[in-house]
Formats: sequence, C-alpha cells, structure tokens
Amino acid sequence: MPEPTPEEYVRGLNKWSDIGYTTLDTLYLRPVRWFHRNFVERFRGPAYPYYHRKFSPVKTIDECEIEDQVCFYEAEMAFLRDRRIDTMIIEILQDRLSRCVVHEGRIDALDKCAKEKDDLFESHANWYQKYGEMGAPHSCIDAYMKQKHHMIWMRRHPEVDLKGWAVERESERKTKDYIKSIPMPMEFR
Amino acid sequence: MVLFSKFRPLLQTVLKPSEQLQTIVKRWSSGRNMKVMITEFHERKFFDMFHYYFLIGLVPTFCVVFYANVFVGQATLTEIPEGYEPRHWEYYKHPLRRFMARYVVQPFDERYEISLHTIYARVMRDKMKALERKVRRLEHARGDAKGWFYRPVVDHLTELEQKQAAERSEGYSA
Repeated sequence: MPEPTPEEYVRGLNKWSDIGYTTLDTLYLRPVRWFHRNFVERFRGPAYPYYHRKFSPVKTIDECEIEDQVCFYEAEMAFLRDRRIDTMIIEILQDRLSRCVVHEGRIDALDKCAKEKDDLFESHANWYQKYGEMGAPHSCIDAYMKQKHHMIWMRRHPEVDLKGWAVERESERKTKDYIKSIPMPMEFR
Repeated sequence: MVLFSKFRPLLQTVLKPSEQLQTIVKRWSSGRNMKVMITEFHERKFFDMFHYYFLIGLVPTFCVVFYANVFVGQATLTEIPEGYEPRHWEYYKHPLRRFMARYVVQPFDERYEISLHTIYARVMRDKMKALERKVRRLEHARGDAKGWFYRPVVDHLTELEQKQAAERSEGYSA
C-alpha cells in the first residue's frame, strides 16, 4: 500500500489525551474488537473477490476524424477520467503534507516537510497548466487548444519561469526570516 | 422505546396546569372538580408513528445490514485473472452495493454504450435528413429528374425556355 498505516498510541505523554484515548478505547474500540474476534471471524462466509475497472485505451481528441461525434464522446470521457485521477493524486499529496506537518509541528515542518511541499506545489502547477482556467463548462477540445497555445507561448518565451519556483523559494525564505526575527526563548521555537 | 410510558408523569410534573385553570362546575357536588389536563393526542400519535417506522422500517433494515456486514463481509481486491471478464457487479466491494448493482441499478458500462449508440443514431439521422434535403433542392433547381412527383407530361414551353436559357448563357452574337 502506498499510504502509511497509523501508529500505535503512546501512553504517558499527556494526561488528558490518555484519558480521552482510554474513554474512546473502552467505549468503542474494545467492544468492537471483541465482537469482531468472537463472532464475525467465526461466522463470516467465504472470501470473494472484487476487481478494479479497467478502461480500454481509446483515441484521444487529436487522433479523431473530423465530425466523428462518437470519437469525441469517448475522448471526452477519457479526458474526464484522467482529470479525476490527477485530482486524486493532488489529494493524496496534500494528505501527506498535512500528516507530515502534524507529525513534526508547524515550525519544524518548514525544514523537514520540504519534499512533500515541493511535490504538492509541482503537482498543483501541473494540474493548473493542464486543466485550469478554461472557463466552466469546457470540453476536451478546449484543453487541447490550451495545450497548443501553451506550447506556442513557451516557444516564443523560453526564458520565463512558468511554475514559479523562484517566487515560492522567496516566500519560504521570508517566512523563515520573520519567524527568526521574533524575539523568543529557544525552547519555545 | 420501552420507557415511553414514563414520559407522561414527568410531563405532568413539569408542565402542571395552574390552579386557575381548574374549572369548578357548579352542577357537580362539592369536591368534584374537572381536572384540566394536557392533551395526550400528540404523544399517542408520535409513539404510534415511531413504533410503526421502527418495526416496519428500521428493524428489517438493521437486520439486513447487520447480516451483510457481519456474516457476508466485504470483498477483497484481487487482480483480474487471465482470460476472465468480470461481471459488472464484481467491481464493487460492499455486498449490498453488489446486490444493487446486480439487480436494481443500470450497469455502468451499459450507460456508456447507450450514450455512444444514441450519438451514432443521431448523427446517422442528421446525415440522412441532410441528404434528402439536398436531393429535393437539386431536383427543384434542375427539374430534370423523375422524382416521386413525376408526371409523364411533355412540357414544350419549359423545354423551349431551357433551350433559350442555354443559348443566352452561351452569349449573343453580333
């Protein structure tokens, strides 16, 4: 599995979280686990499979003939599926970043979660480049035209920083400088 | 649900009708007063409806869902074996969802194929209509084909007009 499993709860760090976890444990987790072990695992029927749907590859919009409405529809459905997949990728990366931040803390996350942040930033930029700012509603033909115009623009302006890494690094540096500039004892920072 | 009968005495203690509302009817002998009470109609109606929906609605639903989750269990994800085409309900995990997909709901692929067919039929219909319109337009313009409207009549005047139009298009000689 690509996503990490949650870790066991560590008792003794905080009295109140211990009390909270113990209440939840006795009210919900222990009864459910007991029931699952004694009844469900004994009386459950045989295991049976389910599969992930596989979509056969179809012609994309640039390979379709002129006025071939059936081909357009199939290309559009494929485009929507791919967009949904890219959106889910962004959701996963966002989830990873938030878990990293919660794990490290808001201040340490600036140093330690740089990889996750960069991945999310890059995926956001790519998604926007591919699917963004076309107006609602839009079709696969609009996306195709956007790609074409983007390639033309890139050819005419080769020196431009499209994704904005410079801006991102600049804002990161400013945040860190501001945090350092706040006069505070070392053990709180 | 079993403690609903205890609600009413509590209600009477909390919302006691004031002494002023207790009317004393003079016809009756002394000591007999008509006690003005809060109506029981809404309570009875509520309990009736609750029991009705609970016994006929929730209990069977709960039993079915319990059975599906505890005794049948959810499916496990596996790779599609070679040369096997999974049935359309075998793409779902929960047993009740599989049941709905199998017996109740239209399959996912069927909807897609129906859309493709409707688009195709629409395109064919439009092409046929356009062709018919073109044929009718040309027949009307040229007037030289034996259409369904043809009557075998020799129209000398029209033939003369056509000959003169051809001569005119060739151009006049001095």
